[in-house]
Amino acid sequence: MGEVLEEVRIWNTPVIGAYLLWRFTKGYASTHPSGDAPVALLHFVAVAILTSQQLSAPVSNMRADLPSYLRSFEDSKSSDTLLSIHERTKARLAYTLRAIDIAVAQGLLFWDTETAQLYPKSELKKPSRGNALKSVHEQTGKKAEILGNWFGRQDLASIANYLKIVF
Amino acid sequence: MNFQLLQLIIWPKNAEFPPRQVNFQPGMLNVITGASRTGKSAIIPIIDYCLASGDCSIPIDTIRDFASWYGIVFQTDYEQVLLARRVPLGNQVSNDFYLLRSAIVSVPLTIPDKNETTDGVKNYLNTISGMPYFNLGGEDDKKAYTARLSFRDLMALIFQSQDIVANQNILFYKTHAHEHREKLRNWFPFILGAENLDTLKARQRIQVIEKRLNQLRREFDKTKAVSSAWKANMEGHLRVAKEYGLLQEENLQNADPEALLNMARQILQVIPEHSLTEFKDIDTANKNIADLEAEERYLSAEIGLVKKRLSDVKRLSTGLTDYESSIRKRVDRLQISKWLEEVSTETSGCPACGSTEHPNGKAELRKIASVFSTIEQQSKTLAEVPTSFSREEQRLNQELETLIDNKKDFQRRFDLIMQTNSEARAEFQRRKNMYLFLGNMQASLATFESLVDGGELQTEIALLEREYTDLMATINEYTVRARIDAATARIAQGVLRHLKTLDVESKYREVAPRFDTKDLNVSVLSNDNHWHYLGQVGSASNWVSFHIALMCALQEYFLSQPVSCVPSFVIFDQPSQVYFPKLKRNQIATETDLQFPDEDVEAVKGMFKTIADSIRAMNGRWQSIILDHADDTIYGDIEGVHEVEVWRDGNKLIPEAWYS
Repeated sequence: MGEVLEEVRIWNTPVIGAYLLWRFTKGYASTHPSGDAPVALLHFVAVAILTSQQLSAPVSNMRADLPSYLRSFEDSKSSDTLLSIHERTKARLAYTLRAIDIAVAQGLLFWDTETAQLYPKSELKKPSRGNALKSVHEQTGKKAEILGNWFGRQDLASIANYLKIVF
Repeated sequence: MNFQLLQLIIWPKNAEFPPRQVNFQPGMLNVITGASRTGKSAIIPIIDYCLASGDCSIPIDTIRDFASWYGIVFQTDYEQVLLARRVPLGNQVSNDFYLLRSAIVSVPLTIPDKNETTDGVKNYLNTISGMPYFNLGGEDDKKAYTARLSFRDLMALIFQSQDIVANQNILFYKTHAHEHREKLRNWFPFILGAENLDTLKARQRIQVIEKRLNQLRREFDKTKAVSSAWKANMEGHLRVAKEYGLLQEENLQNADPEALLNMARQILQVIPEHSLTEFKDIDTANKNIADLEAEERYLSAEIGLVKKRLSDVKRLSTGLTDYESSIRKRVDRLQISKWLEEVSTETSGCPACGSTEHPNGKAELRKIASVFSTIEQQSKTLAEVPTSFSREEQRLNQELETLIDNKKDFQRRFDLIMQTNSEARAEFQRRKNMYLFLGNMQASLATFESLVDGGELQTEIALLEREYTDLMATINEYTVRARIDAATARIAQGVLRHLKTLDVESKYREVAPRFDTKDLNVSVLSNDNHWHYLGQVGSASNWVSFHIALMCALQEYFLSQPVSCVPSFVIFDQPSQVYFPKLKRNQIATETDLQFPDEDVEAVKGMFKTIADSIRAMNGRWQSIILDHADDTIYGDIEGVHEVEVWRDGNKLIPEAWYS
């Protein structure tokens, strides 16, 4: 039950979503072989994963890459959870668009409308004293970045293949 | 499973050279002919290595020293797959893989970097071949020989290396090792289709039921043992009630349990309610009840969650997977581009935030949508369903059962507390003793009731027993045995048919041999009507013929099944070795001019023809590769043979330019 509440909390606050997508985008660009930014389709997928406790739990530095993340579900005997990404992505399209919009409005992300890629603003001023992020957001942000790292090393078709989604 | 090889590729260490590619034709008998020491026998180890083998038997020196990656391209029902693996370092096999899947794979000039690991590749291969995520003996079974079947285990059925192809004792690749052999033996019924996913599932379920039944029966026996004592107890209670003037009934001695119960119920129904309890008792009682209610809420929520997941799994498994007909199906596409397009046309202001201050927003979003659409077209793929999926359903069912059991236990506890609570109240009644008695009686009544009507225990036991019998029928040993027998009989007939065009003694062409899945061996009928294993049959020419006939018959059998997990190709390394024995070194130069006896030439022709005919008969749905000294004078005019390459006169697997 708490899980649903947590999800509502994050995504009724699209600012957090915007922050997470920014971290995700940064993570992606930092591992992409040519430093390229992700196509925004991936943001929709990332949201489906980052908003679910079950799906984001195995996102950590303990796992090397996307295939390893994938195996965690078979290992923990919950491959049904993995199959839900497709449906979750679909259900959260509007949320994601709002989060992207806020991120763009706040200057965290930039659209390249020719290629539909979202570029991250690379450096941000350190938050002033007393304005630092709550550690819980910092943690989710870290997860978003790791997920971005993993996505950055795969092409779009492989990501779709691994996560069992069909664009 | 449609799994045919298209290419074998070796990337050189020196990036100046292009990768060495050997192209195969699907649905044909592919032949690589060549002299000794040209790399023919490295083909099987290389393919085996690319398919995530745990050891590497690729010949050392030339073939390893000048290569950086080995790879294969194969065709499945849905796509082409490039699977490459880095050269092993010394005795250490590499964990670096490169996997590329696409409708048409184009082979890169160099492998950019690894993108998969051994585990990942094994997982992928298990998924595409539809390996069940079950152990043979149930979930708790940790024995290696009954562990989950892996794609790797099927290698036994597709490679016939030089030491196997004419071996009288061993029919299948790598089955010298006890571990491989035992696992293959145990899983052969499944591989043949005599057991299927239902059987495996049933076996898992039976274990759970057995445990639960034992527990329930123990409980039931315990309650039954006390039930006669309880009847006397109830009679005693009623007698006291009579003394209190609460009961008029005379004949207690011969009343049946049901009548006794009715009397007791009546007495308890007519007691007036009293509320003269002390505050302290109410307080503790309330706290207990509040705790219990919290627990109840938690249990109900958990049950709700598991039920939801279970229904999701069921919905997914009917919509997405259908193991019997096909492993994967199309799912509804996400079509984010279409959604975005709709959003940007439907709203009046900015599609994302609703504001009218940035009029370009709509046009930009449409532009993005059209880029999305192009990308989506390019990355159109199919979703595969992990084979562990059916296991999850099983597990969730179990979890749900446990939770419901917990809830039942909880209910009992709750009742008990409510009961003692009413006893406590009764104690403070004016007519203390009578009410105490009534409280006691109420407690006894509850137990007695559960005993008399057989209780839930009996119903539950009966239900489980029925399920158990049904499941036992599914996994019935005799049914499975009969299916195995039918399968092996069909394979044996296939072997007999192929032996007719192969070089064996004529008597073996008359009676079908026996293929035994328990011994992984073939036996034949001797003149004195006894069955003997292949090892007791003389002549290597007989052995090699049986190997070839069996491999063809097995592939034909697998293709006749609705689904089969076995890849549809077989590679034979030098099947003609028994006719063309190893040449002496000084003869190599003139090898092509050698003359062999006519009957030997005919026998080798027979081999090629038998395999080519079998492939043609199955409409090219399987593929074979032969690596041999025999050249086109032997197979030149056989239909269905494709000469891949001739490795003579300096033409080899590893081009000389790489090391000279």
